[in-house]
Amino acid sequence: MRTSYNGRVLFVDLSTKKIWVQTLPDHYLSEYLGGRGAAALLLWELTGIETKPLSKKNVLIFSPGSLTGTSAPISGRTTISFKSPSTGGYFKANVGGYIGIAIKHTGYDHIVIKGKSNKPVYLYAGVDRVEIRDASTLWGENIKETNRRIKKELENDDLEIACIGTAGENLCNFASIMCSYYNAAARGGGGTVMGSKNLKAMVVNPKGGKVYVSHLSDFTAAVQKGRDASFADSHAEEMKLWGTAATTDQMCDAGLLPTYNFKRQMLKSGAENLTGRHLIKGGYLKRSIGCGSCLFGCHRYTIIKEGKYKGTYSEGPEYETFASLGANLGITDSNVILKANEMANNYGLDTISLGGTIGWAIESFERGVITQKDTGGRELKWEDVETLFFLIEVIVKREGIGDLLAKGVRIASKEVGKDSYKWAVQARGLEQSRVELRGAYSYALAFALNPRGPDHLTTECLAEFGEGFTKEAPGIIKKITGDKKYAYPYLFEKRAEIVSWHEDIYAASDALGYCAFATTACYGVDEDVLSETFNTATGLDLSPQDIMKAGRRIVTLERCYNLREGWSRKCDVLPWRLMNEKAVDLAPKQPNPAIMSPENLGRMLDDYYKLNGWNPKNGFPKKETLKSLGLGFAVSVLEEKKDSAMDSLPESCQMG
Amino acid sequence: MSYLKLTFENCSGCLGCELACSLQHYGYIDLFKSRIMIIADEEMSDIEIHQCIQCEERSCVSACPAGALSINDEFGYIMHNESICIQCQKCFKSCKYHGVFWDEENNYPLICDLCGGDPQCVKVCKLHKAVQINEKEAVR
Repeated sequence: MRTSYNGRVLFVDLSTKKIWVQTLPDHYLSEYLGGRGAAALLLWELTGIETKPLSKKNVLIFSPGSLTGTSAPISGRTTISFKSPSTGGYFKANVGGYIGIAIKHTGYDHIVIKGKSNKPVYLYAGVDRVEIRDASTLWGENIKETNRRIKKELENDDLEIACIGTAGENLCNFASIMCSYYNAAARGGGGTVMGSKNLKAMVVNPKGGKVYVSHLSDFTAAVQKGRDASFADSHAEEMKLWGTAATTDQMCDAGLLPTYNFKRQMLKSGAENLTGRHLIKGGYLKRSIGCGSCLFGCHRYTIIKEGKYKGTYSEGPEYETFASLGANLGITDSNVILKANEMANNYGLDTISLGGTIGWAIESFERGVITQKDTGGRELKWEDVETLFFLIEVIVKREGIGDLLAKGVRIASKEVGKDSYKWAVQARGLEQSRVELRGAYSYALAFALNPRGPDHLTTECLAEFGEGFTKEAPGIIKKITGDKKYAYPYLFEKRAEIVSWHEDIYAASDALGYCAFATTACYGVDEDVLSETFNTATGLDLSPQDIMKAGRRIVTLERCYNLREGWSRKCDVLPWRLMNEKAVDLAPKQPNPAIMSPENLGRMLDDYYKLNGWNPKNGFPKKETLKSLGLGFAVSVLEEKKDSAMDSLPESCQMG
Repeated sequence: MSYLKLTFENCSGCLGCELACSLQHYGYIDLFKSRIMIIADEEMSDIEIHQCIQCEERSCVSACPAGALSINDEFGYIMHNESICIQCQKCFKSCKYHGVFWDEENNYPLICDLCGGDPQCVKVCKLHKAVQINEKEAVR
């Protein structure tokens, strides 16, 4: 039977130049749902504790979802998995654009890149031909030019390209992989891994390929059901109109907008400049863009038409970029943020880590920990355009203070010392995304558990804001907890249930290729729709409960990967500042003092471990839990680790 | 008047229409076998939607030396008769609206047939309304 996922893996070894194809056993789909899930198992098998993230033994696994390439709505996303140079642990970055659809057209469900080339190369993957090509003359180019030159060289405008800019080449620790020009697989240093392999780009030619579904008419009906449910969600129109920065100003008013490196939670003025509405009002919005098969189109493509930064053009800024390169530094001039966003996108830098690193540097300067001796005589200041542009340039080039900052906040603060870990807003080596966790308790728990580090991209818990988010949100919380009264972000009760449900459906969404905004921002695509669409495309018969259980299996395997690395409950923390300092600007009903203390977090963690069959003492899933999820193969590995895990901390979890 | 209304500036470039079109006509998805094509510049700044618009001229029908193209009475779309098509590409070359594409694998033209009156591309685009049923035409 022809289906949307066939377990075909293209392996490319850049060291030996060998290229081969392997077909995965059935359980990569039936138990791990393909995509992110199958890739988590592949990463578990292909790498281990001995794998250094920037060594030739690390791998990059490109995995479109098992439904990507079909007409399933909002299913065009691709997961890129690797061992992270930022965290030293499991990492999946997830990206939109059109590259996933193109990969599926080539007939491959995963592309695994191993080894290291001795000179710059790019990979070309088409239906009839796969080859490793010379990229010597592309080395040193950034994203826009790399795309243009490859398309020109191959005389083909239909190619989809994933590439790195100079940030990845220079092994900046938070370099992104940029796909379809401006879609960033941003976090965790995937671009750094790519740079370490001397791999400039992966070029995919979809021409001549086909994507099948197993049961055409039933699939078409399931697809329409998914579309109808998504269109009916009250948040859909807002996503289209304003994108991800719909409510930055409202977050500011509510004391939920991290500013000045998380010292404050609001801006004195100008937050309205950091919104999707402003992009329209200010004449910046060129077009709303949808990733492959998206119904919403939340991406903003923006241009500056006049003034000092005339001609600036890129995707975004997304909320996280407005908040990281704007609010976090006290900058509210949208022209400046658009320019910085364009620079980051073109150099191939993760804007979240970039803004977090710059914020840490400015505060370190303010406190005298970094001085003008370190900066070549420059002052680093809040609300200062020159500081922003200067630091972006030196970070990419690794010049002067930029060489320190390019290592990311954790390593930089360790090298500088002097208590600077206290304002290094990171955990497990990853700079935190811009969510004020002291006013959103599910998010706090989710961020502490996230195997990537503290960010929102394994769990979005927007429903905990209840009607403050959407009219559907209380119903989602009722479905999860039994009572809509738990749709309130300042409660400790039921946060474990809320986080677990969101983790499970998020993992399933990634595995199938659905955007998380389809299942956990708009909540239209639920487990019923996922199950029906998955079954009619793949020919399997998984119930909605099976889909959610597979999500839990994926989450647990990713946890096991990090436990194998020496992680434990001690790593389930938040950045020092959020656990030890009070928020200053509070929402009207927010408990005072607003602090996510280790005790408060620990209480929620205990609930979560208990709920999911993990041992609260060390955060390890119990033997029977692993077996019930079909993860029995991890039992012996974890048995070796569990007794000593709490005695030490892996390097990426050490603060100070 | 065209049965479908195309509004270029509303298009998000998601390709959902192409995916749905290919699946509807072939039972599989092939981006190069869609009868609607999203044509974007390299940075998705400008986007055009290319599709048969049931024009007045019907240059493709006139250009066909084999008489393989005809017009549907009810909806006005072009019907293609594979059994008599001589695969000369004259229909493809004659369309000034870029509404005729060429299926290189099977060597036949690809022309929108409105899915027989229930166009799938419209169903994808309900939010953005880049491809809609032309209201005046729909009440006909």
